[in-house]
Amino acid sequence: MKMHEHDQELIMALAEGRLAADAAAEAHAEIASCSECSADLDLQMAAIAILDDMPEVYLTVAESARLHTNLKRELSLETRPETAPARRSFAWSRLLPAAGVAAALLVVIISLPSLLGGGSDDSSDETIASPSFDVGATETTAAMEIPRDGMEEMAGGDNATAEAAPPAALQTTEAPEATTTTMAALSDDGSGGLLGTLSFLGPVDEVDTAALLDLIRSEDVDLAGDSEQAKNADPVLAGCLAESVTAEVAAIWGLPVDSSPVIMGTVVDDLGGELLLVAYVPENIADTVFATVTPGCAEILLLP
Amino acid sequence: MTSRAAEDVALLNRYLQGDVGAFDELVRAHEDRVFGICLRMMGNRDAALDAVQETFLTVFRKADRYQARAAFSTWLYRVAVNTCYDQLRKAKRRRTEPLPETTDPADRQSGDEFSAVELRPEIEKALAKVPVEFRSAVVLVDVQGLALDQAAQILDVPIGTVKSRVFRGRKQLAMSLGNLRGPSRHPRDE
Repeated sequence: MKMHEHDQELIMALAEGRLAADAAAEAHAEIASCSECSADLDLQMAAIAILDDMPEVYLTVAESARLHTNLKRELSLETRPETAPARRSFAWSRLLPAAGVAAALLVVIISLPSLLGGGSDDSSDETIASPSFDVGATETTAAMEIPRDGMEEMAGGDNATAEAAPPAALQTTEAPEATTTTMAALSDDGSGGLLGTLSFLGPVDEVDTAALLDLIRSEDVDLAGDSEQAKNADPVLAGCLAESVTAEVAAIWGLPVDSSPVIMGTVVDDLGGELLLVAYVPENIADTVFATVTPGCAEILLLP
Repeated sequence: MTSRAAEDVALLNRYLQGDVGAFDELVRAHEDRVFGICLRMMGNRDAALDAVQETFLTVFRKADRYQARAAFSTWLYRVAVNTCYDQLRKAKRRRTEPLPETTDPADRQSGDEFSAVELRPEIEKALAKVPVEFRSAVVLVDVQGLALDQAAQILDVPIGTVKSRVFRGRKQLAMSLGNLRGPSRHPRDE
Protein backbone atom coordinates (compact mmCIF):
# COMPACT_ATOMS: atom_id res chain seq x y z
CA MET A 1 0.00 0.00 0.00
CA LYS A 2 1.26 3.43 -0.82
CA MET A 3 2.59 5.36 2.12
CA HIS A 4 1.16 8.80 2.59
CA GLU A 5 3.83 11.42 2.72
CA HIS A 6 2.43 13.14 5.76
CA ASP A 7 1.94 10.03 7.76
CA GLN A 8 5.40 9.81 9.22
CA GLU A 9 5.06 13.10 11.04
CA LEU A 10 1.57 12.30 12.18
CA ILE A 11 2.49 8.82 13.29
CA MET A 12 5.40 10.12 15.31
CA ALA A 13 3.29 12.79 16.95
CA LEU A 14 0.67 10.24 17.83
CA ALA A 15 3.13 7.65 19.07
CA GLU A 16 4.93 10.21 21.19
CA GLY A 17 1.69 11.46 22.66
CA ARG A 18 2.19 14.97 21.38
CA LEU A 19 -1.33 15.39 20.13
CA ALA A 20 -4.27 16.67 22.10
CA ALA A 21 -7.07 14.22 22.67
CA ASP A 22 -9.29 15.34 19.83
CA ALA A 23 -6.38 15.61 17.41
CA ALA A 24 -5.19 12.21 18.53
CA ALA A 25 -8.58 10.69 17.88
CA GLU A 26 -8.63 12.24 14.45
CA ALA A 27 -5.15 10.97 13.74
CA HIS A 28 -6.06 7.49 14.91
CA ALA A 29 -8.95 7.46 12.51
CA GLU A 30 -6.81 8.61 9.62
CA ILE A 31 -4.05 6.17 10.34
CA ALA A 32 -6.48 3.33 10.80
CA SER A 33 -7.49 3.75 7.20
CA CYS A 34 -4.02 2.74 6.07
CA SER A 35 -2.70 -0.64 7.11
CA GLU A 36 0.90 0.35 6.54
CA CYS A 37 0.44 3.44 8.65
CA SER A 38 -1.16 1.38 11.38
CA ALA A 39 1.74 -1.02 11.35
CA ASP A 40 4.18 1.87 11.53
CA LEU A 41 2.32 3.32 14.46
CA ASP A 42 2.54 0.01 16.27
CA LEU A 43 6.25 -0.23 15.59
CA GLN A 44 6.86 3.33 16.71
CA MET A 45 4.96 2.79 19.91
CA ALA A 46 6.70 -0.50 20.58
CA ALA A 47 10.10 1.04 20.06
CA ILE A 48 9.31 4.02 22.23
CA ALA A 49 8.13 1.76 25.02
CA ILE A 50 11.29 -0.30 24.80
CA LEU A 51 13.56 2.71 24.68
CA ASP A 52 11.70 4.38 27.51
CA ASP A 53 12.41 1.38 29.66
CA MET A 54 16.11 1.35 28.99
CA PRO A 55 18.03 2.00 32.14
CA GLU A 56 20.42 4.83 32.61
CA VAL A 57 23.96 3.67 32.28
CA TYR A 58 26.88 4.92 34.27
CA LEU A 59 30.55 4.43 34.40
CA THR A 60 31.51 2.31 37.33
CA VAL A 61 33.71 3.83 39.97
CA ALA A 62 36.64 1.88 38.63
CA GLU A 63 35.94 2.86 35.05
CA SER A 64 35.60 6.49 35.96
CA ALA A 65 38.84 6.42 37.87
CA ARG A 66 40.58 4.74 34.98
CA LEU A 67 39.20 7.28 32.55
CA HIS A 68 40.48 10.16 34.62
CA THR A 69 43.84 8.53 35.08
CA ASN A 70 44.19 7.90 31.38
CA LEU A 71 43.12 11.40 30.50
CA LYS A 72 45.53 12.94 32.93
CA ARG A 73 48.32 10.81 31.62
CA GLU A 74 47.53 11.86 28.08
CA LEU A 75 47.14 15.48 29.04
CA SER A 76 50.46 15.57 30.69
CA LEU A 77 52.03 14.50 27.43
CA GLU A 78 50.36 17.16 25.41
CA THR A 79 50.71 20.84 24.98
CA ARG A 80 48.85 22.87 27.50
CA PRO A 81 46.52 25.58 26.19
CA GLU A 82 48.69 28.33 27.57
CA THR A 83 51.53 27.10 25.43
CA ALA A 84 49.38 26.47 22.43
CA PRO A 85 50.49 27.77 19.09
CA ALA A 86 49.72 31.30 18.11
CA ARG A 87 46.65 31.71 16.02
CA ARG A 88 45.66 33.85 13.14
CA SER A 89 42.69 33.77 10.90
CA PHE A 90 41.76 33.51 7.31
CA ALA A 91 38.51 33.55 5.39
CA TRP A 92 38.27 30.65 3.03
CA SER A 93 35.15 32.10 1.52
CA ARG A 94 37.30 34.74 -0.11
CA LEU A 95 39.03 32.07 -2.08
CA LEU A 96 36.11 30.30 -3.61
CA PRO A 97 35.31 32.67 -6.49
CA ALA A 98 38.77 32.28 -7.90
CA ALA A 99 38.61 28.57 -8.35
CA GLY A 100 37.67 28.43 -11.97
CA VAL A 101 40.17 31.02 -13.10
CA ALA A 102 43.03 29.51 -11.24
CA ALA A 103 42.67 25.97 -12.38
CA ALA A 104 44.83 26.61 -15.37
CA LEU A 105 47.66 27.82 -13.24
CA LEU A 106 48.32 24.52 -11.70
CA VAL A 107 50.97 22.23 -12.89
CA VAL A 108 50.94 19.64 -10.20
CA ILE A 109 47.94 18.79 -8.17
CA ILE A 110 47.92 15.73 -6.09
CA SER A 111 44.75 14.62 -4.47
CA LEU A 112 44.85 12.03 -1.80
CA PRO A 113 42.10 9.94 -3.28
CA SER A 114 44.16 9.40 -6.37
CA LEU A 115 47.37 9.12 -4.47
CA LEU A 116 46.28 6.77 -1.80
CA GLY A 117 43.49 5.00 -3.50
CA GLY A 118 45.82 2.77 -5.41
CA GLY A 119 45.47 4.64 -8.64
CA SER A 120 48.13 4.69 -11.26
CA ASP A 121 48.76 8.40 -10.99
CA ASP A 122 52.48 8.72 -10.59
CA SER A 123 52.52 12.42 -9.96
CA SER A 124 53.31 11.68 -6.36
CA ASP A 125 56.70 10.38 -7.29
CA GLU A 126 57.21 13.43 -9.36
CA THR A 127 56.35 15.62 -6.44
CA ILE A 128 58.49 13.84 -3.96
CA ALA A 129 61.43 14.11 -6.25
CA SER A 130 60.83 17.76 -6.92
CA PRO A 131 63.71 20.03 -6.07
CA SER A 132 61.17 22.35 -4.53
CA PHE A 133 60.95 20.01 -1.61
CA ASP A 134 64.52 19.58 -0.71
CA VAL A 135 64.72 21.57 2.46
CA GLY A 136 64.79 19.98 5.82
CA ALA A 137 62.81 20.59 8.89
CA THR A 138 59.15 19.98 8.88
CA GLU A 139 56.38 19.30 11.22
CA THR A 140 52.97 18.26 10.39
CA THR A 141 49.72 18.89 11.95
CA ALA A 142 46.35 18.07 10.77
CA ALA A 143 42.91 18.78 11.70
CA MET A 144 39.96 20.76 11.39
CA GLU A 145 36.38 21.33 11.55
CA ILE A 146 33.53 22.39 9.54
CA PRO A 147 31.28 24.58 11.57
CA ARG A 148 27.62 24.57 10.78
CA ASP A 149 24.59 26.17 12.18
CA GLY A 150 26.61 28.46 14.30
CA MET A 151 28.74 25.74 15.71
CA GLU A 152 32.31 26.77 15.48
CA GLU A 153 34.13 23.61 16.14
CA MET A 154 32.69 20.22 15.71
CA ALA A 155 35.00 17.42 15.46
CA GLY A 156 36.00 13.98 16.31
CA GLY A 157 37.85 10.97 15.41
CA ASP A 158 40.57 10.40 13.01
CA ASN A 159 42.08 13.82 12.89
CA ALA A 160 42.80 14.01 16.50
CA THR A 161 45.31 11.26 16.31
CA ALA A 162 47.28 12.97 13.65
CA GLU A 163 47.03 16.26 15.41
CA ALA A 164 48.22 14.97 18.69
CA ALA A 165 51.15 12.92 17.69
CA PRO A 166 52.96 13.44 14.48
CA PRO A 167 55.20 10.52 13.75
CA ALA A 168 58.80 10.88 14.64
CA ALA A 169 59.83 11.13 11.05
CA LEU A 170 57.76 14.24 10.70
CA GLN A 171 58.98 15.95 13.76
CA THR A 172 61.70 18.44 13.54
CA THR A 173 64.51 19.09 15.85
CA GLU A 174 65.14 22.42 14.32
CA ALA A 175 61.89 23.87 13.18
CA PRO A 176 62.29 27.20 11.51
CA GLU A 177 59.90 29.73 12.82
CA ALA A 178 56.50 29.57 11.22
CA THR A 179 57.37 27.03 8.62
CA THR A 180 54.38 24.99 9.57
CA THR A 181 50.94 26.36 9.67
CA THR A 182 47.61 24.79 10.09
CA MET A 183 44.91 26.82 8.58
CA ALA A 184 41.53 26.04 9.88
CA ALA A 185 38.79 27.33 7.68
CA LEU A 186 36.22 28.43 10.09
CA SER A 187 34.19 31.03 8.34
CA ASP A 188 30.82 30.41 6.92
CA ASP A 189 30.40 31.32 3.31
CA GLY A 190 26.91 32.58 3.88
CA SER A 191 25.19 29.63 2.35
CA GLY A 192 25.17 27.63 5.50
CA GLY A 193 28.08 25.47 4.67
CA LEU A 194 31.61 25.79 5.25
CA LEU A 195 34.63 25.08 4.17
CA GLY A 196 37.30 23.17 5.72
CA THR A 197 40.81 23.17 6.75
CA LEU A 198 44.07 23.47 5.12
CA SER A 199 47.24 22.44 6.75
CA PHE A 200 50.20 24.16 5.30
CA LEU A 201 53.52 22.63 5.77
CA GLY A 202 56.72 24.35 5.17
CA PRO A 203 59.44 22.89 3.06
CA VAL A 204 59.46 19.16 3.06
CA ASP A 205 61.86 16.61 1.82
CA GLU A 206 61.27 13.17 0.46
CA VAL A 207 61.39 11.46 3.79
CA ASP A 208 58.91 13.82 5.28
CA THR A 209 56.56 13.46 2.38
CA ALA A 210 56.64 9.71 2.63
CA ALA A 211 56.15 9.84 6.37
CA LEU A 212 53.18 12.09 6.04
CA LEU A 213 51.61 9.76 3.56
CA ASP A 214 52.21 6.90 5.94
CA LEU A 215 50.54 8.88 8.66
CA ILE A 216 47.50 9.53 6.57
CA ARG A 217 47.37 5.93 5.46
CA SER A 218 47.59 4.83 9.05
CA GLU A 219 44.43 6.71 9.77
CA ASP A 220 42.62 4.08 7.81
CA VAL A 221 40.35 6.46 6.05
CA ASP A 222 38.52 5.53 2.95
CA LEU A 223 39.67 8.61 1.21
CA ALA A 224 37.97 8.24 -2.08
CA GLY A 225 34.77 7.09 -0.52
CA ASP A 226 34.73 9.87 1.98
CA SER A 227 35.40 12.43 -0.64
CA GLU A 228 32.63 11.22 -2.83
CA GLN A 229 30.26 11.00 0.06
CA ALA A 230 31.06 14.50 1.13
CA LYS A 231 30.68 15.83 -2.36
CA ASN A 232 27.32 14.26 -2.65
CA ALA A 233 26.25 15.46 0.73
CA ASP A 234 27.28 19.03 0.46
CA PRO A 235 28.04 21.01 -2.65
CA VAL A 236 29.80 23.65 -0.61
CA LEU A 237 32.04 21.04 0.83
CA ALA A 238 32.78 19.79 -2.62
CA GLY A 239 34.34 23.16 -3.31
CA CYS A 240 36.86 22.50 -0.62
CA LEU A 241 38.34 19.39 -2.00
CA ALA A 242 41.92 19.32 -2.95
CA GLU A 243 41.87 20.32 -6.54
CA SER A 244 39.70 23.35 -6.18
CA VAL A 245 41.37 24.58 -3.05
CA THR A 246 44.69 24.21 -4.72
CA ALA A 247 43.42 26.27 -7.59
CA GLU A 248 42.01 28.91 -5.30
CA VAL A 249 45.19 29.22 -3.35
CA ALA A 250 47.26 29.48 -6.47
CA ALA A 251 45.04 32.19 -7.85
CA ILE A 252 44.98 34.27 -4.73
CA TRP A 253 48.69 34.10 -4.29
CA GLY A 254 49.36 34.78 -7.93
CA LEU A 255 51.88 32.06 -8.07
CA PRO A 256 53.68 31.33 -11.27
CA VAL A 257 53.02 28.00 -12.84
CA ASP A 258 56.37 26.57 -11.98
CA SER A 259 56.07 27.34 -8.30
CA SER A 260 52.50 26.42 -7.59
CA PRO A 261 52.08 24.87 -4.22
CA VAL A 262 51.32 21.26 -4.24
CA ILE A 263 48.34 20.58 -2.13
CA MET A 264 47.14 17.25 -1.01
CA GLY A 265 43.80 16.94 0.53
CA THR A 266 40.87 14.89 1.36
CA VAL A 267 37.80 14.74 3.46
CA VAL A 268 38.67 12.94 6.61
CA ASP A 269 35.40 12.63 8.37
CA ASP A 270 32.44 12.59 6.09
CA LEU A 271 29.92 11.82 8.75
CA GLY A 272 30.94 14.67 10.95
CA GLY A 273 31.50 17.02 8.11
CA GLU A 274 35.12 17.36 8.89
CA LEU A 275 37.61 18.13 6.23
CA LEU A 276 41.31 17.73 6.23
CA LEU A 277 43.49 19.13 3.57
CA VAL A 278 47.21 19.03 3.65
CA ALA A 279 49.30 21.41 1.66
CA TYR A 280 52.93 21.24 0.82
CA VAL A 281 54.31 24.67 0.24
CA PRO A 282 57.73 24.99 -1.31
CA GLU A 283 60.08 27.03 0.74
CA ASN A 284 60.47 29.70 -1.85
CA ILE A 285 56.83 30.64 -1.56
CA ALA A 286 56.33 29.98 2.12
CA ASP A 287 56.80 33.61 3.03
CA THR A 288 54.28 34.58 0.40
CA VAL A 289 51.82 32.12 1.75
CA PHE A 290 52.14 33.33 5.29
CA ALA A 291 52.09 36.97 4.27
CA THR A 292 48.93 36.48 2.26
CA VAL A 293 46.97 35.14 5.14
CA THR A 294 44.80 37.84 6.54
CA PRO A 295 44.68 37.99 10.31
CA GLY A 296 41.26 37.95 11.84
CA CYS A 297 39.45 35.85 9.29
CA ALA A 298 40.14 32.28 10.21
CA GLU A 299 42.34 30.31 12.42
CA ILE A 300 45.94 29.47 11.88
CA LEU A 301 48.21 27.65 14.18
CA LEU A 302 51.84 28.47 13.95
CA LEU A 303 53.62 25.62 15.50
CA PRO A 304 56.81 26.26 17.37
CA MET B 1 22.08 29.83 28.81
CA THR B 2 21.34 27.23 31.44
CA SER B 3 23.35 27.12 34.62
CA ARG B 4 24.95 23.88 33.49
CA ALA B 5 25.89 25.41 30.16
CA ALA B 6 27.27 28.49 31.87
CA GLU B 7 29.23 26.37 34.26
CA ASP B 8 30.64 24.37 31.39
CA VAL B 9 31.84 27.51 29.68
CA ALA B 10 33.37 28.76 32.91
CA LEU B 11 35.16 25.47 33.44
CA LEU B 12 36.40 25.46 29.91
CA ASN B 13 37.73 28.99 30.27
CA ARG B 14 39.45 28.04 33.49
CA TYR B 15 41.00 25.10 31.76
CA LEU B 16 42.14 27.27 28.88
CA GLN B 17 43.84 29.50 31.41
CA GLY B 18 45.86 26.55 32.54
CA ASP B 19 43.67 24.96 35.17
CA VAL B 20 43.77 21.32 34.20
CA GLY B 21 41.61 20.51 37.19
CA ALA B 22 38.78 22.38 35.55
CA PHE B 23 38.88 20.00 32.65
CA ASP B 24 38.73 17.17 35.13
CA GLU B 25 35.56 18.69 36.56
CA LEU B 26 34.18 19.05 33.10
CA VAL B 27 34.85 15.40 32.38
CA ARG B 28 33.22 14.37 35.61
CA ALA B 29 30.14 16.40 34.85
CA HIS B 30 29.60 14.80 31.46
CA GLU B 31 31.26 11.41 31.53
CA ASP B 32 28.14 9.40 32.28
CA ARG B 33 26.09 11.07 29.58
CA VAL B 34 28.86 10.60 27.06
CA PHE B 35 29.25 7.03 28.16
CA GLY B 36 25.52 6.49 27.69
CA ILE B 37 25.71 7.72 24.14
CA CYS B 38 28.81 5.70 23.37
CA LEU B 39 27.50 2.51 24.94
CA ARG B 40 24.29 2.63 22.95
CA MET B 41 26.19 3.49 19.82
CA MET B 42 28.92 0.91 20.20
CA GLY B 43 26.90 -1.82 21.90
CA ASN B 44 29.93 -2.91 23.82
CA ARG B 45 31.19 -1.59 27.10
CA ASP B 46 34.89 -1.76 26.34
CA ALA B 47 34.44 -0.10 22.97
CA ALA B 48 32.27 2.52 24.60
CA LEU B 49 34.92 3.24 27.20
CA ASP B 50 37.49 3.68 24.47
CA ALA B 51 35.16 6.04 22.68
CA VAL B 52 34.55 8.05 25.83
CA GLN B 53 38.24 8.49 26.40
CA GLU B 54 38.87 9.45 22.80
CA THR B 55 36.00 11.89 22.95
CA PHE B 56 37.39 13.76 25.90
CA LEU B 57 40.88 13.74 24.50
CA THR B 58 39.58 15.23 21.28
CA VAL B 59 37.72 17.88 23.24
CA PHE B 60 40.86 18.67 25.16
CA ARG B 61 42.93 18.96 22.06
CA LYS B 62 40.52 21.35 20.49
CA ALA B 63 39.30 23.14 23.57
CA ASP B 64 40.91 26.39 22.58
CA ARG B 65 38.79 26.50 19.45
CA TYR B 66 35.45 26.25 21.18
CA GLN B 67 33.65 29.54 20.86
CA ALA B 68 30.40 28.86 22.66
CA ARG B 69 28.16 29.36 19.66
CA ALA B 70 26.64 26.08 20.66
CA ALA B 71 26.42 24.63 24.12
CA PHE B 72 29.52 22.82 25.25
CA SER B 73 27.43 19.70 25.72
CA THR B 74 26.27 19.88 22.11
CA TRP B 75 29.84 20.06 20.95
CA LEU B 76 30.84 17.28 23.30
CA TYR B 77 28.06 14.98 22.17
CA ARG B 78 28.90 15.63 18.60
CA VAL B 79 32.48 14.68 19.21
CA ALA B 80 31.21 11.56 20.95
CA VAL B 81 28.95 10.59 18.07
CA ASN B 82 31.69 11.25 15.54
CA THR B 83 34.14 9.24 17.57
CA CYS B 84 31.71 6.35 17.62
CA TYR B 85 31.21 6.67 13.89
CA ASP B 86 34.94 6.53 13.37
CA GLN B 87 35.44 3.56 15.61
CA LEU B 88 32.54 1.64 14.14
CA ARG B 89 33.83 2.37 10.68
CA LYS B 90 37.32 1.26 11.56
CA ALA B 91 36.02 -1.85 13.21
CA LYS B 92 34.02 -2.67 10.15
CA ARG B 93 37.02 -2.19 7.93
CA ARG B 94 39.20 -4.32 10.07
CA ARG B 95 36.63 -7.05 9.85
CA THR B 96 37.01 -7.69 13.48
CA GLU B 97 34.89 -9.96 15.52
CA PRO B 98 31.21 -9.18 15.47
CA LEU B 99 29.77 -7.30 18.38
CA PRO B 100 29.27 -9.56 21.29
CA GLU B 101 25.80 -10.80 21.83
CA THR B 102 25.95 -10.01 25.46
CA THR B 103 27.56 -7.16 27.24
CA ASP B 104 30.61 -7.36 29.31
CA PRO B 105 30.07 -8.19 32.90
CA ALA B 106 29.51 -5.15 34.98
CA ASP B 107 31.89 -4.04 37.61
CA ARG B 108 30.74 -5.88 40.67
CA GLN B 109 32.93 -3.87 42.92
CA SER B 110 31.31 -0.58 42.27
CA GLY B 111 28.44 -1.14 44.62
CA ASP B 112 26.25 0.90 42.35
CA GLU B 113 23.27 -1.04 41.17
CA PHE B 114 22.93 1.10 38.09
CA SER B 115 26.46 0.34 37.07
CA ALA B 116 25.52 -3.29 36.85
CA VAL B 117 22.66 -2.60 34.50
CA GLU B 118 23.49 -3.02 30.88
CA LEU B 119 21.31 -3.05 27.91
CA ARG B 120 19.24 -6.12 27.65
CA PRO B 121 21.10 -8.35 25.23
CA GLU B 122 18.25 -8.64 22.77
CA ILE B 123 17.79 -4.90 22.71
CA GLU B 124 21.48 -4.31 22.33
CA LYS B 125 21.59 -6.73 19.47
CA ALA B 126 18.62 -5.09 17.83
CA LEU B 127 20.14 -1.63 18.26
CA ALA B 128 23.36 -2.82 16.70
CA LYS B 129 21.41 -3.84 13.61
CA VAL B 130 19.98 -0.38 13.16
CA PRO B 131 22.08 1.58 10.64
CA VAL B 132 24.41 3.88 12.46
CA GLU B 133 22.85 7.12 11.23
CA PHE B 134 19.45 6.02 12.47
CA ARG B 135 20.88 4.58 15.63
CA SER B 136 22.57 7.83 16.58
CA ALA B 137 19.33 9.73 16.12
CA VAL B 138 17.39 7.23 18.20
CA VAL B 139 20.02 7.21 20.92
CA LEU B 140 20.13 10.99 21.16
CA VAL B 141 16.40 11.60 20.99
CA ASP B 142 14.79 8.56 22.52
CA VAL B 143 17.44 7.30 24.89
CA GLN B 144 19.20 10.48 25.91
CA GLY B 145 16.05 12.54 25.63
CA LEU B 146 17.62 15.39 23.73
CA ALA B 147 15.45 17.84 21.86
CA LEU B 148 15.24 17.45 18.13
CA ASP B 149 17.00 20.72 17.49
CA GLN B 150 19.93 19.77 19.68
CA ALA B 151 20.11 16.37 18.04
CA ALA B 152 20.09 18.12 14.70
CA GLN B 153 23.03 20.27 15.77
CA ILE B 154 24.92 17.30 17.07
CA LEU B 155 24.33 15.25 13.97
CA ASP B 156 24.75 18.25 11.71
CA VAL B 157 21.59 17.57 9.77
CA PRO B 158 18.27 19.38 9.49
CA ILE B 159 15.61 18.68 12.09
CA GLY B 160 13.48 16.98 9.45
CA THR B 161 16.29 14.56 8.82
CA VAL B 162 16.55 13.80 12.50
CA LYS B 163 12.83 13.07 12.63
CA SER B 164 13.08 10.80 9.66
CA ARG B 165 16.05 8.97 11.11
CA VAL B 166 14.33 8.55 14.44
CA PHE B 167 11.23 7.23 12.72
CA ARG B 168 13.16 4.76 10.64
CA GLY B 169 15.46 3.81 13.49
CA ARG B 170 12.58 3.05 15.80
CA LYS B 171 10.89 1.08 13.10
CA GLN B 172 13.93 -1.04 12.43
CA LEU B 173 14.55 -1.53 16.11
CA ALA B 174 11.03 -2.73 16.73
CA MET B 175 11.13 -4.97 13.68
CA SER B 176 14.44 -6.44 14.79
CA LEU B 177 12.98 -7.23 18.14
CA GLY B 178 10.08 -8.92 16.48
CA ASN B 179 7.87 -6.39 18.09
CA LEU B 180 8.96 -7.91 21.34
CA ARG B 181 6.44 -6.28 23.53
CA GLY B 182 3.78 -5.78 20.98
CA PRO B 183 2.33 -2.37 20.43
CA SER B 184 2.22 -0.16 23.45
CA ARG B 185 -1.03 0.11 25.16
CA HIS B 186 -1.04 3.84 24.91
CA PRO B 187 0.99 6.47 23.21
CA ARG B 188 3.47 8.14 25.45
CA ASP B 189 2.00 10.71 27.76
CA GLU B 190 -1.51 9.96 26.80
